[in-house]
Amino acid sequence: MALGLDETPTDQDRYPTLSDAGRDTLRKMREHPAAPIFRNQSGNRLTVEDLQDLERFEAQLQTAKAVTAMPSWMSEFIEQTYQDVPYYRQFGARQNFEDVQPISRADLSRDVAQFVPDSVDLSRMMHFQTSGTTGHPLFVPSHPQVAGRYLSFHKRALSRFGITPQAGPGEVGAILLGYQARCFTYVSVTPQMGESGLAKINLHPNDWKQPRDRAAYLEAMAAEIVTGDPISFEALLDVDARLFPKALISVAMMLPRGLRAALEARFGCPVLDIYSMNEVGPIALFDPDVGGHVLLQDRLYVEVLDDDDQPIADGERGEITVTGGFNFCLPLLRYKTGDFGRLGSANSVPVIYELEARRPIRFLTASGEWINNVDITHAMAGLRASRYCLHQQGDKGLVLRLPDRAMGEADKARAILGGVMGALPLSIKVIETDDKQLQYTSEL
Amino acid sequence: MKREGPPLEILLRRLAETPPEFMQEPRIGGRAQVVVPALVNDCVAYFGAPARADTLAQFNTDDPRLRPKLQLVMVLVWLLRHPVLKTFDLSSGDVLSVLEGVPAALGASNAAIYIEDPERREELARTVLAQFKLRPEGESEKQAADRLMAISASERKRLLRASRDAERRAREVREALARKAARESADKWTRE
Repeated sequence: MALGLDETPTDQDRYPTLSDAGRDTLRKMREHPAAPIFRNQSGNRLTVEDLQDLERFEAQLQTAKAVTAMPSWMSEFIEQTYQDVPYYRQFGARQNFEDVQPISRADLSRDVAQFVPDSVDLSRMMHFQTSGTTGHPLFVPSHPQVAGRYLSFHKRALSRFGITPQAGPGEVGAILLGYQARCFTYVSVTPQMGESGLAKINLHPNDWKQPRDRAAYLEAMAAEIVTGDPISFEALLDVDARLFPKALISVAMMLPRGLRAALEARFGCPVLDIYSMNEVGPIALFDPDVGGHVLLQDRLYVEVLDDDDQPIADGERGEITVTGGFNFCLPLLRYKTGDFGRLGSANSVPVIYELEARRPIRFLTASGEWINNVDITHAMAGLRASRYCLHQQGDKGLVLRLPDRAMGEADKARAILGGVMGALPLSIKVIETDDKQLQYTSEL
Repeated sequence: MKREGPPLEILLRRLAETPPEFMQEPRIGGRAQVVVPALVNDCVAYFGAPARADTLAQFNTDDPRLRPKLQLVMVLVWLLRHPVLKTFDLSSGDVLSVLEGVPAALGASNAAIYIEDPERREELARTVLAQFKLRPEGESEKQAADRLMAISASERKRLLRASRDAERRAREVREALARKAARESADKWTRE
């Protein structure tokens, strides 16, 4: 039964299968003396039937492989999409894959309702809001089962590093870290893992009675897996806590190699860098052994397109474009992600090499040579900073922005950029906002 | 429809026998092979003078939503090239009006049904004749007008219903996304 427009979900809606043990875990996370202010409420929303479906989904995924060549399911997927999705129905009869016009985030932003299949039951629909850096804010339609499926892909990613999450009743399975002035925070339990706890917390001092509570809380929760993004992980390095997670999982932004090394050294566990987006879910996992991101999904076809939306051969650089996916509320047909990379394979596993968020930008060196931002990314990879923004002015001068807490790396950054760009005027400033920003910009 | 035109059956058979080449993908935004402006120009020139470049520009588009229209134009080109129509003293301008006006008048989203569905075939053939102010051979003016009205009214009603259903569904999706419960969302181990 659907809730009304302004009806607030109850705990029964949030945790339909909650047991007494799960309730105790929620209480433990919420009422610990050092607990942060939890500003919101959320839950797994999974029913018994959902859990059975998720079990089947995970069992099927265990033997499935990420697709390389055109998959056998494509024809049926296109047929179904052209029949069931209003946006595609307006084009008439189904098209061959290569004739399908790619879409972008701007198309979804215009009216995402046109992309939701008629067959989707709306009574349990929810959304994830995403801002991105393209100026096209978006509500991504989703469903509790779709959110539940993320766990299967995280387990798949962890298994590549030999890790099997085992948290169970009374334990905390995952802590999700944010670091923002305002952040959506809550506690929940994961019924697929014995109702182990899940807490989404904000490391920003605003959300704590006193800053040192952060370490006390994290130590008390002793989460098996800690997830976040490079910004929140950079903040975690400043928290004096003795933590022993089995793994850290970083999403949302590219994880610089220097920050990864610092996190691995500090926590003595693998740091997984997952390329993931709200519209598609976890797409690929960085594997240091192959030097690229290995694809994770079996029902997602990944291709690379050039500026004219034409497919380009493996090994050539272009825009990552995806078809399929596991979000049945938003089946994607040639969705251009806005991210760029090269496709290849390693040991028969498909890989995205040199993944970069956003369209390539060229920079003009002191000697008058044009270089691609990929070269800058390579050179700056060792920097211990969660992110940086580089801008080239009309007079060739450079402005590099670093997070406040990474200003100690300024001299190193200056030396690196001098090596790549030559003797150009360079000013180094602090990034003043927590928002996502374009990493590379140029006036030239 | 003052003038008597060709037998309707000839046009119906022509439509039913549309070759697969005329159902291929029209080129949109540089994608696919069939260049519809070239087809249109050949067809118009067959009836006298070639079309002006600015007139042909409307058949050259980057908008994928115009695919059904271009596909229907391709089917019309095939139909209009039947030699029987050449005997009715039609001008290039008349033919261009049909190629511009008929897809807009029918407003359907799938050109294939004008080949595969007998009733839609008849609607297309009669609409083309009416646009030329011709009536099918052997029919009175009134008979031709009545039959065209009956056959297109049922389709218009169906299209209208489908369009209303689509609008209602889109509204329901937007409402579902705006619910407080939808905003609260559900657990994921990672938040992008």
